[in-house]
Formats: sequence, C-alpha cells, structure tokens
Amino acid sequence: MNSKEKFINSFRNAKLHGNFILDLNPFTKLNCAFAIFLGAALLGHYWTRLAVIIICYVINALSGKENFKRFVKLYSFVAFLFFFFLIGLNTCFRPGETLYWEWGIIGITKEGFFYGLSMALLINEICGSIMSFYMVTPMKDIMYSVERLGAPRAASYIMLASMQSIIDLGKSANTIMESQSARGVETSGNLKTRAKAFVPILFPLFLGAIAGTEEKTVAMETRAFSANRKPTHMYELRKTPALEKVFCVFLDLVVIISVVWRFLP
Amino acid sequence: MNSISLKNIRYKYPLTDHYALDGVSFDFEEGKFYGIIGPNGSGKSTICNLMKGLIPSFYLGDLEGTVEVQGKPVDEWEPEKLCTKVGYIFQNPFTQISGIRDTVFEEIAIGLENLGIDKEQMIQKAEEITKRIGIYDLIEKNPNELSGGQRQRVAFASILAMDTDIYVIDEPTSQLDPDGTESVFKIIRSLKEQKKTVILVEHKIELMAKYADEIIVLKDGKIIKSGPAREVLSDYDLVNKKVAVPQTVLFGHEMERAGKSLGKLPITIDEAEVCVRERMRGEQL
Ligand SMILES: Nc1ncnc2c1ncn2[C@@H]1O[C@H](COP(=O)(O)OP(=O)(O)O)[C@@H](O)[C@H]1O
Ligand SMILES: [Mg+2]
Repeated sequence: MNSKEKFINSFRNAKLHGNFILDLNPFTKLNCAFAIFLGAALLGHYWTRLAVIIICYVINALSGKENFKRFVKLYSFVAFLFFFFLIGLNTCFRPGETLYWEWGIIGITKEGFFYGLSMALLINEICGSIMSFYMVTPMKDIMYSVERLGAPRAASYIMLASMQSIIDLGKSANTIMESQSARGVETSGNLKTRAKAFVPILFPLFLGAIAGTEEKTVAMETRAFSANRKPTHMYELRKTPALEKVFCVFLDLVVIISVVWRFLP
Repeated sequence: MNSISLKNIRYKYPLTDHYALDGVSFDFEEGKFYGIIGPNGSGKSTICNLMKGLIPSFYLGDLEGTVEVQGKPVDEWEPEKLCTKVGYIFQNPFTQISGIRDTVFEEIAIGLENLGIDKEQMIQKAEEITKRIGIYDLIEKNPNELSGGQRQRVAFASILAMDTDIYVIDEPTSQLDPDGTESVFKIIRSLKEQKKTVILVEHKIELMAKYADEIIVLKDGKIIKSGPAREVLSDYDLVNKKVAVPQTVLFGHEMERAGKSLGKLPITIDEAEVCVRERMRGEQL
C-alpha cells in the first residue's frame, strides 16, 4: 500500500492521533479541564492552584513535543504577565495590616502580596486549563463531537470557518502589505510608520472579506448545507472507552466531595 | 426531456431598477453542451443563479416567469434533491473552498456528508473522482493553501462528487493561469464525453467554438441569438453588435470581403487550417 492509499484507508477506521491524551474524547478533556480548575478555584488554597498550573504543563508535555513547545511559549508568557502585574500592583497599592515600607501612595503590605498571589494563581490556573484544553483538542474534534450530539452543521461551520477566515485575513493583509512595500510604501520601521501603512489597507481588506461571504454562501449551498438530514462523517473519532467515562465520573466526584467537605460547617 | 426550462423570465435584483434579465425563454435539452456568451453585465451569471434556484431563494428581488428543472418548478424542489440535480461552479476559486476541512480528500466529501451518504461510499467516490480529474496527488494537501487553479479543480471535484446531471459553470477559468485553464477544460471535456448537460459561461470564445453544441448570446438581459454553435458564430451581426467571435471567423469574413472566400466560415483553428490548406491548393491549380 503506498502512502496515498494508506491515507485514504485511514478514514475507514476511527482517527487516532497516536497519543493517549490527544485521543481522549473531547468531552472527557472538557470535563477534566472544568473539574480541575473549578475544584482548585473553589478550594482556594495556594497549593491546589499551583498544582493545577503544574498539571497543565505536565499534560501538555505528555501530549507531544510540538504541543509542549507551543504551550510553554504561549502560556509562560501570559502567566508571567499576570503574576508580575497582579502581585506587583496588589503588593504596592492594596492596604493591609502589615506594612513593610511606605512612600507616598505606595505601601508595600504582606496582605497585598498574598492577595495578589492568590488572584494571579487563580487566573493563571483558569487560563492554563482552558489553554491546555484547546492545545490538546483539535478544533475539528470538538466540532465532530458537537455535531454528533446533534448540533446543527451551520453552527459548527461558522465556528470552523471563522477560524479559517482569521488565517485568511492575515494572509491577505500580508499580501497587500508586501505589494505596498514593493510599490515603495514604507511598511517597516517604528510603530508609527507601520500603522501608517497598515491602517489604509484595513478598509479594502474587510470589504474584500465581506464581498467573499456572499459567494461562499452560494458555494456551500450547492454542497447541500441546507439538506435536512443527519450528516455522516468521513473523519470519525473512536467510541469513548468505558474507562474514560469512569475516570470522568470519579474525578467529578472527588472534586465535588472535596468542595462540599471544605464548605461544610 | 428538457433539463432546464426558462419561461418568460424577467428579474430585477433587490434595490436595482433595471431588469438584469428581460424576457428570457429557453429550453436546455438533456445531454447537450451549451455555451452562454455576451458582454459583461449582460445577465449570464444571473441566469446561472436562476438555474440553481439561488434566485429567488437567496437573492430576493422581483422575479416573473418560471424556471423548471427536469419539468418541475425550481422552488418546488427540496434543496437536498436539487443539489443532486444541478451542480454549480463559478468564477472565484477562493470562495468555493469550505474553509472547514484540512485535507482535499475531506473537502470533497462535505457535500456527501451533508447528504448523509454512508462513509465507505464517500471514500470510494472521493477516491474515484480525484483520480479521474487528476488531483489524486493533492488529496493530502490543505485546500486552504492551494493555488487558484488547484482550488478550482477541487471545487469541480466537490461538485462532481454530488453526481449531478446538470452542470452550470460560470466563467471557471477567468481567474486562472494558462495551465490552470487547460486542466479545468480537461474536466469540462470529460463532462461532455459523459453526455452530461453542461451550461458553460465562458469568455474564451475559441474554446466555446470547440466544445459547445449550442450557443446562446445574451445582451442587456435578452437573448439576441441562439442555436447550433456554427450557425451562431458565423452570424456577421454579432460582429456589428460587438460580441466577441473567434478570430478564425473574423478571418473568414475578411477573406470573403476580399473576394477570396474560404468556402465556409472556420469556427476553430483546426477548421481554419483545413480551409486554408484547401484554398491554397485551389490557387496553385
Ligand atoms: N447581486 C447583485 N445585486 C444587484 N445587481 C446585480 C447583482 N448581480 C448582478 N447585478 C446586475 O445584474 C446585471 C447582470 O449581471 P450579471 O448576471 O452578473 O452579468 P454577467 O455575468 O453577464 O457579467 C448587471 O447589470 C449587474 O449590475
Ligand atoms: Mg458573470
């Protein structure tokens, strides 16, 4: 069997990504992401929140090298920003009992520091879970699962197509900018020159995109998007293994019980 | 049976006050290859939109007259049935890709998925079509990253997958380079060989002369001439009305005017070659 035949044949069975995290059902992943971050948010300890952030790194590491690299790059930056600003601002400006140092309106307090730390951990924990979910779940998998649940095709079409049109917009912006620069318009340099070159192309850029939508609707219409039938799928995910479902239930129970336990008088 | 019949069509787009089509009637017979020609804005694309039922379901506006597909008014067809009768391919290769699939193979299957076709059947169909029209090499590629010509062929494949009887094709090559044009015409040729009903709008008149059984000339929303390709293209009146005719026809007219008639008007290069060769032999005698 040559590579093309192999490729075609791969549609005959459920698609596997070849990694146990990526291959989890999208709803399993969503469930885990929610259970973990809600649990940690409600439990409210520094340590549970920090643990969630570490778990996010671990999950991405387990899901493959490329994924991990992208996650580290993107998330570490965001996380750092939150830590830096939330802790910084709260430490300096939040009033508190234990004052270490004071200068004008700035007052460094212990309570401020811990408040900022707790808030930064919370936000980073939530960001991390959501980002991890999207990292380890291809958009087409989400759409497939949602469609299988009975969501209309139009809905998943809009989701996927808007993602693509953002990419396309970026591409055409690039093309226009390149031709502008070939015509001698200054397109690189400081922020002001760049903005000067970029702003005038926005109008034709969006106009072009809008003009395309009518034709696109027509094109999709000819491919039976308004058919009133349950669609079939060339790309299919595997049936969710029972163990996965059991795990979800177990995790949810653990989270619910710990939260209830904590808030019990 | 008629594939498509237009009966006394008058149509105005919304918010416009002139008729894009003004009294158009025509019967398209099954299994024939029709070419529609005419200047820009003469209503060619509007006719295509009508045949697909996009007027009046998608484009509102004032419509008089009826369009019938296989004897049944177009608005009485269920959309999903009509999709398997009339396939529509148009100009812009970039808007005909769905943008929701990341391989050509899956892109081609979307229409079939929407129709609820069984997976194995879809796979076989997509494989067969990609092989038939020469895009098998592209099946693993991302359709959103292809060239215009490649995308146009993928658009064809996606419509061919629906296995329609009638193909309405609106200026499929106007945005393609010569290579892309050639490969798209190969596909159109294969439709002709399969005796599908083809209704093609195309500016490349030389190609029309070669393939079309019948030609319809539109101007200002009216059919000013229609009939067998040779008959229509030989009409000198078209030249007066500034409708593009093949260079060889102009050449024939010129020769006639110079008193050196070629015997008949050549409508394709091949014919012109034969005419000229015979003519020269005559001269030598
Ligand atoms: N979407 C539209 N809205 C309003 N008027 C349109 C629209 N599309 C075409 N027209 C008008 O209808 C007439 C016929 O256009 P069209 O069928 O696109 O011509 P062709 O395809 O022969 O170039 C033109 O006068 C054009 O301006
Ligand atoms: Mg047109």
